[in-house]
Amino acid sequence: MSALEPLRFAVPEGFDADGLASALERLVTLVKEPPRKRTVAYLDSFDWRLFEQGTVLEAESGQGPPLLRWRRLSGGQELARLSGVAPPRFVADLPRGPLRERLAPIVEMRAVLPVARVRRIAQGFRVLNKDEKTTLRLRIEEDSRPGRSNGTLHGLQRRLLLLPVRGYAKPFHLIARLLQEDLGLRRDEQDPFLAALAGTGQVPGGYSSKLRFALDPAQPTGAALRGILLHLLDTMAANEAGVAEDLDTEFLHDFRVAVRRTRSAITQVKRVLPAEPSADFAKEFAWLGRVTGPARDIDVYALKFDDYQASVNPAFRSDLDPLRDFLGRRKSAEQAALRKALQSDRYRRLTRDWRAFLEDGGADDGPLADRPVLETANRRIWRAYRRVLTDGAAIGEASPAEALHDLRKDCKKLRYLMEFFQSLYPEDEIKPVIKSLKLLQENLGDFQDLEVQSDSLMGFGRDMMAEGGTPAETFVAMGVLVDGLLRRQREARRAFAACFAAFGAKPNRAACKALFSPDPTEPTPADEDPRQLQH
Amino acid sequence: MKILASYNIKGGVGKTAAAVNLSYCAAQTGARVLVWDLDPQAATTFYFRVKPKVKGGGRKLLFGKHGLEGQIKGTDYPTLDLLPADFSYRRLDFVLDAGRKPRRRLQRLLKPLAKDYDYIFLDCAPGISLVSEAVFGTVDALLVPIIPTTLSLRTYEQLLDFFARKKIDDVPVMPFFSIVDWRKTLHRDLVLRMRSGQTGMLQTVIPSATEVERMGLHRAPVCDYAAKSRAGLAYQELWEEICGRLENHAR
Repeated sequence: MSALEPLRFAVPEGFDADGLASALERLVTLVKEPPRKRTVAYLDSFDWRLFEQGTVLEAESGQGPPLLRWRRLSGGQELARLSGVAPPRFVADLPRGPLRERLAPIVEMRAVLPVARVRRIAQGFRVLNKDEKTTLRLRIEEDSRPGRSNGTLHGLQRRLLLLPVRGYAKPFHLIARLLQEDLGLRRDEQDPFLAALAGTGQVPGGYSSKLRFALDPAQPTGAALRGILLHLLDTMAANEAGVAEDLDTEFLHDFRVAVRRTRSAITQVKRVLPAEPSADFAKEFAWLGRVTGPARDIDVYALKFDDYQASVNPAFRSDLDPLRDFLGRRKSAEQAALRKALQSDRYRRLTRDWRAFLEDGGADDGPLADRPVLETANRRIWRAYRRVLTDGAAIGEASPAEALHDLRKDCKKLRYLMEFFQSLYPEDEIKPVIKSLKLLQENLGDFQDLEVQSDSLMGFGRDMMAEGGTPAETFVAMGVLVDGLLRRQREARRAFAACFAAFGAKPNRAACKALFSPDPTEPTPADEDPRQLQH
Repeated sequence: MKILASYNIKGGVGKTAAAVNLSYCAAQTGARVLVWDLDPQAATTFYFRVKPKVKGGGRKLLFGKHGLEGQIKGTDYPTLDLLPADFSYRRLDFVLDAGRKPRRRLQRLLKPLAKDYDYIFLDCAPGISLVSEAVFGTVDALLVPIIPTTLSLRTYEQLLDFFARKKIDDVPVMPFFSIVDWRKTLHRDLVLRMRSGQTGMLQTVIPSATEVERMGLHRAPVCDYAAKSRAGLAYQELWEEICGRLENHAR
């Protein structure tokens, strides 16, 4: 049986609620509830994770206890609710329970921020049967934008909601017919959330950290690259405020990814931009990557802290608390430095000049700017791909860690190129290739990050020792942690051969050749004798 | 989805009050909750003001093509639904016995509801029947309210004997004291003795209280109309304790 879905009707100006009530009372027993003035904040992550799921989180406050309601956008079906709880900044701030459990995998580490707010006057009615059981609910809602006194504004409507109670279809259909046929009410197609968003200048789903370009294969590379770089610059700009205010860790993360992608695009897609200024810009973006690095490093530990704590024997867990406090202090210091960098003249000049360079056409002057973008993409990706294969095949049991770190960099460059130019290739063919690359990158990432993390922890330990006041137990627990990290790092090293073999496997090679090779008869490195390449 | 049953061989020990109030407390935390009133006396159904009727009766419900979903009714509380009792439930044992794999039947019926509910409460009829056995084979926790009297404790021992005899060792039994009158020496002594031992008893005690008796007049959970009363608070505390136990079991 399909469950009944709530119905939403548009209510005309000057609609007579009492008249409606008396019309209803001729048919059913009706209870009028006291009217409520509430403020509704619509919450979502900066990258619209809840909206992307077709849902929205509402935080109601005002008369009566505060309420969190998570509901679907179409139909308005409620997914979860929690009463008596103030809007959280992070899902982890919510009390344990289904709402938290179900939101956590969607929202993860992102903050849920108010994206729109309305003031709402709601008048509820309940339809009762002879057992005085509620069998249907009606609610008239009138929304206005907060901070203005003149009531209804553009796009913020009055609406009548018909909220069915499961298993009581009869009164629902009876009243729905009355509203539509006798009172001539029209269904309200616009979700109140979208109505509240309209006019705020925000586009739901308008930000994503994923790259979604739609490139034309015949388009000159210069123009395509300019578009990509402008998008990356916009991404930096979009995240700037969130980085400065440290709203959550992902603003900085996305910002830094955009910086890295920018550098990679400048240096990897050669001779498309004019050599002279682009080398300087690349240097400046390298600076930007450097100054934003320390704060990100601390974020990584903060994000991993719960896992760290869970990874040591329960007896040591609370001993790690001083480390958390230390990381908190370190973060404040790094955050201040980061904010300073974003306010610096150097940063302002960089973003201003870079935008002017991209927008005013100076960017199209490189010798290869006119080459069709598909050709450039093929050449660059093929080259980067071959390099990953060759360098990876050269890594044996005895190779130094440096070799894997270098391979990781190669992979990153290849990954960015594939993502920039993804739209030039059939989705079902390039997706599996990117996925296999991602798995290899994860292995290489683990290998390097676990080492960096254990080094940093040793460094933190030294700093904490110098600061004084940290109990010996904390250092012992950190030692246990470092040991665990290094053990995992060795596991990653052992797993490398299999991960690389999977990436270099025949079907994947064939797919890459078909996709990127300018000359499909040319052998890929691994088609040559791979044993030779290993030595 | 976690399935919990409010169960005791003995009647009149506060099973229904527990099912109604604990399910209400669970729903108050935002959980999506279904109560299935398996007792033909239909007290839970009455408290939630729902008509004690299931289309086609128990047979169709247990072995019909359409499963349980179409028979579910929304209560007056958001996220709290009810599968009503039906007079035909008095013969549920026969119905179950006539079908295939009777002890697994409830589990099979409830499985498709996992996407819709976080908790399902089964309010069971007293006695020890095939339906009870099917309940044992389904639950994540068997909540057993016990009045601190000799007879009531004896029926609890009977239940444990039954489990031992049938070699059932995978039912997490969570007994708790119910309808406790602290003025009675016997109640006091039994509660204090049992709570201190390794009996697996939940620590929260549901007191004997007129507010609970008034549920029939209000036709609502105590935790709704008298949330701050002793009994109301006790049920909330009991629910938190049960959640803690469930979490420990899950680990």
